[in-house]
Amino acid sequence: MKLFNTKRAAMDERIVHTRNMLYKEAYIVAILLCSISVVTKCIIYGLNIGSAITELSILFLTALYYGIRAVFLGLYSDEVEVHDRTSKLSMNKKNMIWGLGFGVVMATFFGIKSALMYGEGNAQSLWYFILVFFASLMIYIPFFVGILAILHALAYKASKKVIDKDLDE
Amino acid sequence: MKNMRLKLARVEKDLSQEELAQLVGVSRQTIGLIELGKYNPSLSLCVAICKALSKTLNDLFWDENA
Repeated sequence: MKLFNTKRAAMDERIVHTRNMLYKEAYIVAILLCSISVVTKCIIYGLNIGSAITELSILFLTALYYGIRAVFLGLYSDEVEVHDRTSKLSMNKKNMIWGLGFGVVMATFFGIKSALMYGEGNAQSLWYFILVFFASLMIYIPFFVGILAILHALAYKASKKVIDKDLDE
Repeated sequence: MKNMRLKLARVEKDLSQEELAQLVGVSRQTIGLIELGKYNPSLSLCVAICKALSKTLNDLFWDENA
């Protein structure tokens, strides 16, 4: 895919590197601004996805674009290989921990929401929290761990295939 | 770390930073930063500089003490 690969005259590599660094910084600034905007809208308008759909789309689509490009350029498997060589926790284990984390955060969120919305008195609120928290844990932990593990395995396999093909040529 | 060997080779050839920059297709600032050791050039730029100054990679970029 050569979406942004326009033909240009020879460029000074230092300018190219520095410009790439600035693009990276600009991307981080854009992501931060989107995140701040989402949080601000949640505080002002409450939990309404519709009000922050543009920012959420930017966050999701840019991440998706990077992920897909990294896989089809064979970068993902290289990143995993280097990561696993230098880190104590393998990428697989990290994904599982992230899945657990997401599951716990979602379960806590729904637990608190149920306790606040439907609980009457401390004992009932606590009971609703525990009930919804553990029910959500059972649903969301396997879901997130599974999704992350499957996506990781598929992305790694596809990326490895691309890079192996490049090395064969 | 400053690259004095590059600077000496350039002066030996009687080239200014601007002229060397034009020969290898980069800006004068890039050559200045390479000589000051503040920018690590790619291998292809190193080779271009070596060819422009009639030197080898060893002569200009290999650090025996590193």
